Amino acid sequence: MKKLSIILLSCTLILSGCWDTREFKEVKLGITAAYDMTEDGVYTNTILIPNVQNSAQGPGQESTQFLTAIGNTPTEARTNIDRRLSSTYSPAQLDVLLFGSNLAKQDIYPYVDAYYRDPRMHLDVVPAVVKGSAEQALKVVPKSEMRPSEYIEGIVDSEVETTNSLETSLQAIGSELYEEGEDFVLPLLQVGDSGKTVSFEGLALFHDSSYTGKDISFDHTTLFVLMKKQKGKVARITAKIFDGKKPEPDNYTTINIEDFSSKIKSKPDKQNKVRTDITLDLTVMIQEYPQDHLALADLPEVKKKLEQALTDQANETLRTIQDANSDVFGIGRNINGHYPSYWKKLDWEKDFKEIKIVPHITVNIRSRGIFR
Amino acid sequence: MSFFKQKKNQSAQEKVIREDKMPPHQSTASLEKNIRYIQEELSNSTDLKVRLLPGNKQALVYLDDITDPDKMQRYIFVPLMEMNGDIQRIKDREENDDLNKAVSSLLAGKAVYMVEGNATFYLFDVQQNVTRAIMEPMNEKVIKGSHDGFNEDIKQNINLIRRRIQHRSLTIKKQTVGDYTESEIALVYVEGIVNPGVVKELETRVKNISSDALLSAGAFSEYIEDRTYSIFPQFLSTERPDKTVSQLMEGRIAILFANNPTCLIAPVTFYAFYQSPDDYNTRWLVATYIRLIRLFSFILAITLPSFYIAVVGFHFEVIPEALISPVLGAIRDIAYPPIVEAILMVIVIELIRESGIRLPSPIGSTIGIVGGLVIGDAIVTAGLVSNLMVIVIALTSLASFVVPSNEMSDSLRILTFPLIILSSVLGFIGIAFGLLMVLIHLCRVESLGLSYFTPIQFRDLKDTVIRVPQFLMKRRPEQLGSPRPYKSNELSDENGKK
Repeated sequence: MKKLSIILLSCTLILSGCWDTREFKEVKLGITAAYDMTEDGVYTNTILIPNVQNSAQGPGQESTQFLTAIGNTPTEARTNIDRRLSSTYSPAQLDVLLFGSNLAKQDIYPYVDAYYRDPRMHLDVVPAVVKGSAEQALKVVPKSEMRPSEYIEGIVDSEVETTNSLETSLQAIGSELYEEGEDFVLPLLQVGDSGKTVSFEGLALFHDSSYTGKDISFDHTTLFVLMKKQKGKVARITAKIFDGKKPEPDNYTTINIEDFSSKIKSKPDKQNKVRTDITLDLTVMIQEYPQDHLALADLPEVKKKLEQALTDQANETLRTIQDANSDVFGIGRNINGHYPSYWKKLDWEKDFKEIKIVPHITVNIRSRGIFR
Repeated sequence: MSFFKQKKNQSAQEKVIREDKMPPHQSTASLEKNIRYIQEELSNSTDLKVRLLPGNKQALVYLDDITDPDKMQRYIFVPLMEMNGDIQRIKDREENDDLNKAVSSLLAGKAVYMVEGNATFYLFDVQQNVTRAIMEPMNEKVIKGSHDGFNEDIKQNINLIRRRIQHRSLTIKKQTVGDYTESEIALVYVEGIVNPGVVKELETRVKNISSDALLSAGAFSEYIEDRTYSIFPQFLSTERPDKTVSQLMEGRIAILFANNPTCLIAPVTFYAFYQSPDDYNTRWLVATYIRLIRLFSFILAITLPSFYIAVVGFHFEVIPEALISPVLGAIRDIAYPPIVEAILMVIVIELIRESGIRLPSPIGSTIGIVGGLVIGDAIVTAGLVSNLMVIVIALTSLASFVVPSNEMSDSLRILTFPLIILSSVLGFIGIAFGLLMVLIHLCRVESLGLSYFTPIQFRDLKDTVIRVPQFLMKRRPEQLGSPRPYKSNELSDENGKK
């Protein structure tokens, strides 16, 4: 009897386990998903599924499959996609989540909610906003790419490496989606070349969980990312430091940021309610100086002009941010933490636009390159 | 469960008496009677030769096949001639008057010389020695270090050990096991280093073996080991004298067998199976590196297939992004679930291995190529097994062959199966369950009273997981309870303790 019960117990354990098998080969994985809003206010979900044909010499050419479905909730749209697939659809390996700008302007939270709830989902999915239709961006499949499914992910990743985009994921923006006093940015993409390529256009500013419609343009992103205390493998900024020189390129210089330190300090201020100082120290190398000769004596002037140009650029960025009412530096949260009683008196929705943010940028030229 | 019980009314079986415990049978003065008694006791075996000497008053009795005619000539007939036929004047002889003793001496390869009218007979040792040359053991080759190995002659084996430890405290205790076979075994240890309690325990266990025959070292260890049902070997077996000696000097006991080149060493811990004599001949850094690889291979050998099955069967979320297309491409068109693939492939590898062992080496290597290349390639092309599974199983069996001890390697390969099954029904949880069971079991196994998985203290790490230079290994492993804990005189006072 005792033996019999042991056998029965282990059978229940083992046989019930079989039921839970989810075989990898019977699953279709979505790599990129796009959410769009139609004119009638119904959203569509488009996914990209890679299919790999096996050949004798390892995995062969990848083919892609697109499916679009309409639903009232994202999960309903997913179920509708599943109906048309030979095997089960799984978003567990999703890399990129694209939002059309129309949809992003309303609210993105309903579309990402499911990803936070299901333990099987990857939270390192990179969300991105597409100007116009996200579906269109998803369907761009350049022929030159070995793995078309990784095209959009590659674009976003490479921009992080060149300090043009912040490293972001669903995990990273999780707390900022709803918390007051801190907002976030997402990479902004656009379909170009009449539908043949997708390009990185800058960073889309969010307030709470909706897109404000304002962006940090591509040539301002590097400085912004540095102020956010991040740096990819390379960080280059081209600045206009002279006026009226001929030929035109002589007016510009490109610096390569080798080292940096960034500090953001906020404190209550009588005049402007809150005053924030952003200190950015850059140690740079002159990468490009088309005027040919850069004498040691010229360096202080170049340094001064560079600092001026960068400060102008920073001021412009900060103005955009304040216009968008997108507190990407988390100034509100900082004030809330350090001056809780003062924070209660503020109406951040309105006051953020009024506060004073001052950038202090210093440039140290470490090297002029091996050619002088 | 009644059919497991033995039948009670079995006819009682007659007890066999061991040769050395036979009651004495007094010989008579009659030569003919004595010879007839011996012939009857040996069931008139045809190899029993009775050689009557001229005059029919004296006879030489011996077993033809195990005696050496040369020795007989040298030790009996030549001296006999010199002494003018007077047997009593030959010095190198034994005397006895117990005929049963004569029979057992005949079986040991002695010749019995009898004289009419005299109840006393004389024994001469004329045994024919059949031995194999000393060769390097096939299954335990090393790159550097001594290349001799034990063979079937126990005397030669003891010789190899004695030559290495020339000290009076090397103790050899011989015993015989098996009521019919009377196989000789020798317990070898170094008095003063070995824990006397362990020796006593081993002697009692050996004494308690009751069997007609002792056929092999493996069977012997099953009689005396602590847990016969365990999958893990509890005695380290080796055919290398250098390995044996190094274990003796650590305070362990070696058991040698007559007619068997295998030497068993006890008590051992799990880590002993991962040490090779090579480790002490190479630079310590290299030895450490190789040891770490061996221990890693233990984990690899038992978990790799189950890990792979769990990943593709349950948790494909953990596959790194870059591997998705290769994995998907490899397993998409496979007809069977991963567990069938795995078991199929494991069986193929076992078949190749098993067929390779029995065949002579020229054919054996052909089998390896045919099996490995042709079947491996064809089975993937046919879509029965994915190429990833081939890699996984091949790696697993490679990892199991890395273990220097053959028995441990076999145990590992068996252990893969329950984990494969568990992982294919429960995924990672199944692997966790399985490994937990293995760990609990490893903690409970004992080798001659010494806990198998004795926790390694930081001090003992020096010669288990890594190998540090010799001058840092000052102590013997503490868990052995050696009365001489230090490896050198300089470190201890007169009592061997500090």
